[in-house]
Amino acid sequence: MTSSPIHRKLLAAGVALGLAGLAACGADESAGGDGQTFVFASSRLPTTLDGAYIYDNESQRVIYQIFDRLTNVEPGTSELTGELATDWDVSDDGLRHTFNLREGVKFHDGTDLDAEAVCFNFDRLYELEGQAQTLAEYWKIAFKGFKEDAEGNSGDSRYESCEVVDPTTLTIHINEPYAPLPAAVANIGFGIASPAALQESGWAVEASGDSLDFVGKFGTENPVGSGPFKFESWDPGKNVTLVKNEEYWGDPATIDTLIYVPIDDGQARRQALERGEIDGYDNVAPQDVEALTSAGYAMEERPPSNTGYLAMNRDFEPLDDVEVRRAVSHAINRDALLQANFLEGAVKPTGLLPPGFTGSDGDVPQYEYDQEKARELLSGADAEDLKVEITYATEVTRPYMPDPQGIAETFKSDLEAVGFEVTLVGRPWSPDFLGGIRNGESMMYIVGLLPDMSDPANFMTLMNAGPGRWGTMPDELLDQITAAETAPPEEREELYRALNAAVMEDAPMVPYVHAPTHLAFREGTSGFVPSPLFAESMATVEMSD
Amino acid sequence: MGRFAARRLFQAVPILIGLSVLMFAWVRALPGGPEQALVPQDASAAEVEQVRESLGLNRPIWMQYLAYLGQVIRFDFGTSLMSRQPVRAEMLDRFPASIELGVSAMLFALLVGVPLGYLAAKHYGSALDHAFVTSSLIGITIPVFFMAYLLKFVFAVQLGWLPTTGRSSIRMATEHPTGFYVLDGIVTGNLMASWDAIQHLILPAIALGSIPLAVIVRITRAAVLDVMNEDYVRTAEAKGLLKRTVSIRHIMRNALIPLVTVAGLQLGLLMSGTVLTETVFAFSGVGSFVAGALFARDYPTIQGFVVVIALMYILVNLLVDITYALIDPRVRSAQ
Repeated sequence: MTSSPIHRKLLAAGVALGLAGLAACGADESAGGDGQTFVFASSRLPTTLDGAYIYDNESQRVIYQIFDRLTNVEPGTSELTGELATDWDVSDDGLRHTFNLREGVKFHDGTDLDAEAVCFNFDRLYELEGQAQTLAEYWKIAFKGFKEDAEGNSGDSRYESCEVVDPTTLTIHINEPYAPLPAAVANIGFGIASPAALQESGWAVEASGDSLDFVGKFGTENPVGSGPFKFESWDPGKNVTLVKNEEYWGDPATIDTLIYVPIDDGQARRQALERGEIDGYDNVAPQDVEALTSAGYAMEERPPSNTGYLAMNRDFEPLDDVEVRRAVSHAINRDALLQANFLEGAVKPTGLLPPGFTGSDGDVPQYEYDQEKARELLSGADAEDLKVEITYATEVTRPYMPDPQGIAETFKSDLEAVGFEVTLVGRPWSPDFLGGIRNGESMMYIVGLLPDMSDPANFMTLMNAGPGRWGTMPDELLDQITAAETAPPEEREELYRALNAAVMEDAPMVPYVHAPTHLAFREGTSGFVPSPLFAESMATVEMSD
Repeated sequence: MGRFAARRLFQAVPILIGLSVLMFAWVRALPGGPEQALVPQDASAAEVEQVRESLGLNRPIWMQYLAYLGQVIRFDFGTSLMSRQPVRAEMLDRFPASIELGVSAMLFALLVGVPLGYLAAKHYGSALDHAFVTSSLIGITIPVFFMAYLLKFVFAVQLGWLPTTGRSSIRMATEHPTGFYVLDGIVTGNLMASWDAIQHLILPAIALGSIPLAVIVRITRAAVLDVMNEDYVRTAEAKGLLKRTVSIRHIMRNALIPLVTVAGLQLGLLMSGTVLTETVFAFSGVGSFVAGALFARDYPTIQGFVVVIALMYILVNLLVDITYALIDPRVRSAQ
């Protein structure tokens, strides 16, 4: 049989590819630039690098390297300190916060980071319009509303203006006292961006079909800050690359190139580390911590700053009765739950506030595991039947719920032991589960809170998040939350202690864990300081060769 | 042939419109909506409602559909809720990945399955026949995600022969003008990048290819057995033709007809297998992305991708029919 021209071409192509393979076999890979390259795997890439529009950790960890804020927390703690601001001062009436800036700081584009640039940033957020307001969650936490709402009316904002006193001094004016302000602006949503880059690329957000579109390209193509790393490139779906900022005002980074890659599957992240394809990753599965540590990988534990809790919506009977809610609290064996589901560093909560937060060390009513006490409370309660439903999230894990279904089953068995009749319902995390709790459809549900700032207000405002979550909360408790938020700094500690106790007295939830999380790095990596608030700089990371 | 292809493509238009209507209605019938994904975890119900209103999701569904059609006509599929990238950009990025993976998987299944099926038929009833048929069943009996984990654990993690994740080495500087990484390496003259892409494809392709492998072995075996007993084969042998000529020209060419149909259909079915394979190997393709979109109620992604997947399915079927006609002259004359 003779070969046809097509056969010959196919054969030639095959041989060419084979030769290409052989030629490539012995060749070296070209690294992503000169110097040290560090590859970090997150579960996914950021949605944008404009901190104004994010509220997720995966975006935060990248943005944190590019931008500085006025204030920050001390590495590894929730203690507030200055970053771009060397110090700050609050007026007696609590309405003027004056910040003194570090001198000589430059943005990556070479422009000056001065009081004018900082005020430009605050004014930009205050003046956000349309769909941009939807996404600016951290602004809303700190300053409530915007200059104007969607209808062009006054946006009911706490913010009034930002005044440039001199090139290194500025004053933020607010119209009601808000003591957490210095802590709130330490948040990634207040990273100070180059006004020149913002104006050049824009930051508008518009509705596009069923979604929101970043029309302004500042956050996707031109994020310019003053942090230890500069933005280099973003290949959607594949990686984000940052390079060292040689002109950084602080100690410059030791890594030259920092690449973030998305690997959604936890097992795949571990294997990629073991094969040397990546140099570090976050959210190490609890079962992998010991194995990776004993294999020599550098393991870092993030201090537990979250709270996992079983929430009770009092608009559902029998949970409207405080005695029933307290019985639930006594019925749950949290020690056994922690032992079965969490690693050693997990902490059994004494209240809603995690350890280290202002007000967390007060005298709080405790509900120790006591089945007899639970039965006793139930017998005295008015409740006619004790049927309850616990909703848990599926297709998700969080540090405070590594196995939501397993935790739900433990709750069920504990509650049934004291006379409750429990039904479990699993719902996909988003939108079903989260939508369900917002709309007041869930009677009891397992969820938690990862803090956005180093202030107890972050946890306590949760109790004021609308009737969907908790049912109708007593007015006195809600007033107490507002009072603590607006109180002068020297009174806050005592107020939050009292509030933490008042919440637990009311028993709207059973806080069951403050869970640590883990990051794994390749052998010989040092200098990474895990933060309870995810304020983690890669600039201090060092790699051995 | 040209008219036949044009007619078939024209017939696809109402199918695609019908599908887009169904898809549009179906995603909106699911509980929750994109507004839930756009707000943070602690947002109140009032905030969610506000977003819903601003996106126009409380308008009558037909109005929403017309607005959507208006967009699609301009090849604008909106912005993905999950990645916040334009859906069109996601398509250009992810379809080449899944096509590359699907084609590699099918190549693996054909290159292994056809010879196995042929040899099994030739040694019908022997131990070899039983061994081939049984071993080909592995692909059907072992779930694809388990196969993927197993291959990865042995060949990537333990032996370190092949990479564990992704489509190319992270530290390798490459360009991707077409999105087909193997081809990109050749186009840009970076053969090292092509080889790197092939290395990243081997394990996922074997895992995914194990699904159609069993079917291809069995179909080939049955078809060859069928054809072997035909009069024209006996005649060809009686004429004294070379054994190889009889095998290739007379047996395999005719046995290929059912094989092409099955392979075409299997290529479509591979899409479901890509969800798990792509997840295990962190292979940024269509499967894992659309599965994620479904959970996140990412309407723009679901609507856009499903219609394009359907279009590709139609095109693959058309391609099967054309190949069918090329192999079998009787089909050509019937058209």
